Amino acid sequence: MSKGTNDLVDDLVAKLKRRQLVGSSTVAQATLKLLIVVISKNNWSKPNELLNLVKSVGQKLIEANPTELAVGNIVRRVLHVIREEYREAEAEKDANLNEFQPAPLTTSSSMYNLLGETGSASKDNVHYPSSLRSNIIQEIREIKDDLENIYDQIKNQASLHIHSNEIIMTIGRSKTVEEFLKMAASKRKFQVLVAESAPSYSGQEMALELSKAGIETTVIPDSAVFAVMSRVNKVILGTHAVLANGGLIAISGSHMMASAAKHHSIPVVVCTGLYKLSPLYPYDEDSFNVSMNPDSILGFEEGDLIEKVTVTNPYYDYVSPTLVDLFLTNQGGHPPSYLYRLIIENYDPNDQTFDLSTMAETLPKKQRA
Amino acid sequence: MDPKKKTVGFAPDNDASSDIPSPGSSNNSSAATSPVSAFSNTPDLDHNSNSNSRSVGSSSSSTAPKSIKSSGARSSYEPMKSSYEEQWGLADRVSQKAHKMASPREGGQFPKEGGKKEGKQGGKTSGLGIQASGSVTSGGSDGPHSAGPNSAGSQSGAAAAGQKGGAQKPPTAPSQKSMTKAERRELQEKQKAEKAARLASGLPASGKKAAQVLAQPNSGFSPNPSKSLATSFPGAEAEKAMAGGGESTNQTKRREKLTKEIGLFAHLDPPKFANTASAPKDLHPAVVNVGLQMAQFKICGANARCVATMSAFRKAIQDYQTPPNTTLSRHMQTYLNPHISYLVTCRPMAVSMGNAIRYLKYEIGKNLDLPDEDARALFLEKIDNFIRDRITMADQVITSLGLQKIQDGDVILTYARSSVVQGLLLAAHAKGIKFKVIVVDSRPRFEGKQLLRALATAGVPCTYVLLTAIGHVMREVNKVILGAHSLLSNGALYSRAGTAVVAMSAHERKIPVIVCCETYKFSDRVQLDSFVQNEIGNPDELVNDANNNFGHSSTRWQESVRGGLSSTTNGATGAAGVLSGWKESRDLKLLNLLYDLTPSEFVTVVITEVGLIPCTSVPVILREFLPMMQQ
Repeated sequence: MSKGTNDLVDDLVAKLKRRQLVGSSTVAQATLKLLIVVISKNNWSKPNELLNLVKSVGQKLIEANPTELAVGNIVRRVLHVIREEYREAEAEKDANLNEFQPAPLTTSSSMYNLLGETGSASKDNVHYPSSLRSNIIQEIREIKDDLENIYDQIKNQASLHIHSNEIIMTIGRSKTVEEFLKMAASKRKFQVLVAESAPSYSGQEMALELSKAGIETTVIPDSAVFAVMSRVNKVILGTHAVLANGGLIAISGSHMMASAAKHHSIPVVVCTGLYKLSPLYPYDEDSFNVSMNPDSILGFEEGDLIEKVTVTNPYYDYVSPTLVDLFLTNQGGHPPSYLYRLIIENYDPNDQTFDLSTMAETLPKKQRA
Repeated sequence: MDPKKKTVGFAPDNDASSDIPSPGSSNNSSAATSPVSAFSNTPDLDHNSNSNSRSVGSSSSSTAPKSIKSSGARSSYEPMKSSYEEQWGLADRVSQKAHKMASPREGGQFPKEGGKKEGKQGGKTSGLGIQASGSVTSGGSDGPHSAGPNSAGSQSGAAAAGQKGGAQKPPTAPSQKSMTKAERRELQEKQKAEKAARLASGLPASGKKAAQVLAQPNSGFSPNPSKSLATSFPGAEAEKAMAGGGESTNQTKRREKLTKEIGLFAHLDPPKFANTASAPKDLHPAVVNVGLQMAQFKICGANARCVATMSAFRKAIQDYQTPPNTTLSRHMQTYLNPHISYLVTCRPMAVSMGNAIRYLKYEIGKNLDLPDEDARALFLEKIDNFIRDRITMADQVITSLGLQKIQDGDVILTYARSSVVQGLLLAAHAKGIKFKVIVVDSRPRFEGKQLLRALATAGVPCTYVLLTAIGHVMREVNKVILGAHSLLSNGALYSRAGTAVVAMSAHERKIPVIVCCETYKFSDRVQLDSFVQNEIGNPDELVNDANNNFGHSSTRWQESVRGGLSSTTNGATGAAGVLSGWKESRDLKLLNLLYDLTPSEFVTVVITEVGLIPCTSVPVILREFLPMMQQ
């Protein structure tokens, strides 16, 4: 890897480690930007070289902050794009070489991908056209554009899902949900109840933003979620990540809100960009959680108490897929049961686990630190 | 003379001020110097008996200078009222500004006006002038509330008014001392009738607002100039009608505004801010004290509130003197009623209090023919027995029953703080059972911290989390023990907001939910959701301090300190939080719900002093068991 790109990688790694970059969206964009530079500035000629390059960078980024799943998602997405491009190039070449044989199956077939990948190793000596590099960059830029337009694509569905005089409940602050509701407010009149999500109280910021947009907003403490749930028409949640089974890693308090909604048979809608969809599976509910500083729960001024008690401040909640009714992504609405399909479309099966081994190593390490 | 003897039905003004720590306490000394006038010239008397006072007229000019001082306690509430309005943004902003600007001037002008009027109206205005002057003695020095922006100016104005009023004309307020017993009774009856009329006419039941209505035109710094004009109307009736009308429209305006603030819960009473001003005068100071403490959440929790109330009533009965022509047991109910309604104006009645008071009334009604002293002794005993049997002993029984359900290795989760649960956990620890407690807590009161402190001090291993982490901690829990505010007849658990979430999370994971509840908290009410009956807390409690982002300890410290004080100061003085400007924002509202309703399906068992029962057995206990126990 060239010196310049190395510095850039180290810079992003440092930022992730120090949590200077948080939030799926910012992290995803930063990752993508870096990968574009890495791919365009480095020398590579063979598919495996490029894949290994991207993988090695990706691995570093993921290790820097394993709970920012969007990093891994973007790396996998890029890997997928690279493989697709190679495959296309190969298919073209095969077709040129052997015109009698029809082109093999379309690249979108997952079965073909599985087989094709094993076969591609033998084609290492194939010479690829020079346009490949620009094609790959082009594709990745498209992902980037997608990422930037994701809010628009999601919020444009707002009027399809919110009717007049509705009471919507949400928790914490999510840019996606905020945009979604603001868009809906331009066409419909409705009320929003925002739970604060102590101790981050990001719900208060959310409420402030919504009220500035002219939406009738009420802040409720987390304790009132169950009490007022029976009058709510829809629960709209933002999320930090969506896992392979459709479960959410969302701000703490999401689980209780989703369960309360379930109890009252109120639909739970999750607004998320597809870049948050991760092929990882939550073998343990705490796999992707972060424990924050307990100071915001029990301050040091209560020192006599602190030394006697345990204080836990998990930042995220795991929401099981059974509590979610609908995912609104930039590609439209999907039930949780459909997510596996989206994963197959967006990520290559080979990449799904490329860093799982390292995840297992880094997670405990992070916890110690 | 003995003040205690004299207090009877009338306000023991000096007692009140000495018992109540907050506003008006500095009045104590002045009241003590003139015990006679302390209760001989109470403001309510002035207001409500304007016509009367004129007729009685200039009977006792000598007592007047003393009464200037003593009556001050009440009139010093005026500034309090204005700060109340500011805090809540209830009053129209414009008019408030006008008020602020106008008040010093008005106050300055008032003396002349008062002096002039006195010439015309004699007794009445001079009495009022005296009243205004009261704020000199007490208003300035005491109470956090009286530090309102306009208090200084108005006080000086009022002072001038008082001095002039006092100096120019002999004050003519009637001294009760100078009245015959019959006259006094008549006066009392009149006051009562007027109070009833006030209630009927849609005026606030609370004496405070009524006092505003009547005091505003008099005290010289009313926000509405036209009201101070009203003083120049000769007829007291006309004046009252006018002030009353103005107030009631004001009231509806306020109501509208508040309704807007609360939204879905418009039918519930807005949060109340009782102060000593809201206490009608003829209340026993112990009850006033309890009412204030409940309003400020210093006394909090169903048991504590019930015990405090009953103890206060006990004191009231102890000090009670039977008015002539009636017996103690016959008059007791009418005597207690204003006390009870005062407590309701302080904070909506807890179910536990309601049940206890109902029991007391039942006992009073049962023993109408007892001689006074016997009846008094009986009622006192009944109160003691109620507290002992239904609360203290019940808690002990519940603890012993609950102990059977706690075993070595248990991880017990509890929410907020319940006195019974705390007792049970401490008892289990004392018994040597090795268990762990997870205390779940939530905004805005963080009541669980108290429990945490108690448990940690006792050496119970504790974990402390906020409600949002409930999904995270519930996995390791194997028992959930909750307290109750009340158990309703349909088996629903009415308890601190957030309880339902905790019970639901436990139910989801098939963890048993144990509720500890004394049977006196059972209610024959039924309720299906948390909306129809609930209580709204002060929304300002939700306004966060400066650093809401993972709240820095320094700011939280401020909050906790302030939280201990009158909660209303929270938002006003706090460093700018995210929501600090919520009152200015048209679309932003805060909802601070105090209770919620847990469906019976979430509750596995209820531990009561009559045994472990399913929560659906509440009506059975109410119907079959309790009458039996009362025999």
